[in-house]
Amino acid sequence: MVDVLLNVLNNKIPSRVFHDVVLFVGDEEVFYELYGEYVSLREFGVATLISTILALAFYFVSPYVANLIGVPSAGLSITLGAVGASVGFFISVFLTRVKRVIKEV
Amino acid sequence: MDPLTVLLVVLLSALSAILYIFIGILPGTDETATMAPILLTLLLMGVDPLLALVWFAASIAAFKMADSIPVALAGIPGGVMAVPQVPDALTAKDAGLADTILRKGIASSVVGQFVALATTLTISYYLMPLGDWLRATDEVLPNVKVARWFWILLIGLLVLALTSRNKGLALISIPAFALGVQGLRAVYGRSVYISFFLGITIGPMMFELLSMLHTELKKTYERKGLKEIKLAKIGKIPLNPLKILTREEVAQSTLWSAVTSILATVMSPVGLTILIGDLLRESKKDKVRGSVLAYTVRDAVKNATYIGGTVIPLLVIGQPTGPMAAGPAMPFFQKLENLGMSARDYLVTHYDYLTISLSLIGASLIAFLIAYPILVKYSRKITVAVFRRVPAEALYGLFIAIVIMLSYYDARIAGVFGTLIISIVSGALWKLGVSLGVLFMTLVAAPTLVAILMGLPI
Repeated sequence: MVDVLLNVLNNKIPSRVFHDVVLFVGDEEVFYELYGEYVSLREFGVATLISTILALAFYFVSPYVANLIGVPSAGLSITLGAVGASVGFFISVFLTRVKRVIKEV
Repeated sequence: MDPLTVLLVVLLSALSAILYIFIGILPGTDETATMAPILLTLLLMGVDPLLALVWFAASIAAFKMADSIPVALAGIPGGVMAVPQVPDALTAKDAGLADTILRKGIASSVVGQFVALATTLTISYYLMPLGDWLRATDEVLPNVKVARWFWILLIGLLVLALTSRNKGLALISIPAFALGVQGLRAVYGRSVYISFFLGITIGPMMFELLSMLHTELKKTYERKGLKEIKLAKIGKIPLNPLKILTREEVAQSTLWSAVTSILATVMSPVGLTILIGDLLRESKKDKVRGSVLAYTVRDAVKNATYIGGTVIPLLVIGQPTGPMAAGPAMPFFQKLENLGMSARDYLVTHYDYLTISLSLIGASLIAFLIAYPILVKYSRKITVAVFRRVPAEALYGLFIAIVIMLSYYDARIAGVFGTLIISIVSGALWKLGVSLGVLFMTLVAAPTLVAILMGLPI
């Protein structure tokens, strides 16, 4: 099962649908090193915005959901907020590009 | 423990192990930034503190086992705790021993976690009666009462400050940061905690990010082209951990795991990992043998310090007296509105010592039963998949979104800006060489420190 999952991850995921407008110096794209990783600020902004909007949207909707299902809203708001942020993460994975290139040595 | 709780223990341990294998392998994932917000979210969601503890123990097992995988394969640390392993990993890689250190690291993580659990749970059992004495207060200045555990915290804080890269700044930042925190709390009119804690957690990232708003500083972060990662090839690794470690490696890993798990009550896990590894490397005349031994024992020490730094403060002292308890494990010590007390107090008042101990051991066992075979068999494939498929932007975006939501939950819109200012100050101090552990511990000590400062007759 792990093999199948890893094969899917390595080969079957389509290429990114979001294409960044990046600065070029010579022939190479320019990124910014943030916390040890190369990032595109534009893609970073988009990913953060999507996750934050979804986290807060789910958070603010939670009292109505709690009313509907008859549970206290305090715990549910954090749960739904975290779910929203995670949905944002999965959307962002498809909207942003990986800036790493792997070389076998 | 009822069957449903046992089932939840197994499920949460397994889920946590799987999640933290990936987080561990991802480069640049700081432990506090990835462990504390998820733990805090679980507790705020109303998850039973025992189950949250189970989640946490499993996350330590899997995270600390996985974060050295990219070190062994590519010389890139998967977490802050794996940074000290990089030089030894590069030496071993140059000698063609990438797969040797990979398997030794995985095996010694298991040794470290279980030795630390055995050591700290035994010590905690005998020291638990001291808890009430430690929580009692003494009047040290007119109208200033100080709990006795505060002095243990202060010793840990000073040790950590003196082992920071910038000792002087670390020392003077303690009262200054405490005043800043208490000042903001006074403005808010209540003892806000979560937003400050998260502010310190994301400080380094926010500082680098906000530096890019400055045109000149932005240029210093510019990098051309994609980040090149050189991945070493590895051979087949045996599943039996007993075939992986030599007698000396087992002995050294056991000894230092026991010692450092106790020291982590007040000392920095990173500092201890560096210290023990360096001592062992220098003890060998052969550079490669020294590096392999240091790398192996460091992996055990990583797990041991995380377990020790959590268990003793949690079960005996009841307060976060070291950088581990005041960092990744801090949500256990904070009073939660939904519980009416801290998760730690809930744990010790609702569960007996045996249940807590068995839960910790069970969670670690389940986590290793899942993580060990997966990492032994698929470590290279997982690393390639994670490096190829998970963009840093998506991960950082997720962390920032969770931080913004929890800050809003803590103190509404003021909480979000409180997180921002604390993160800028923390990030600047970190950049100047102050360990983030100093700031986490100052956050805990702030009310008492400021009370003492204000009570001084000068």
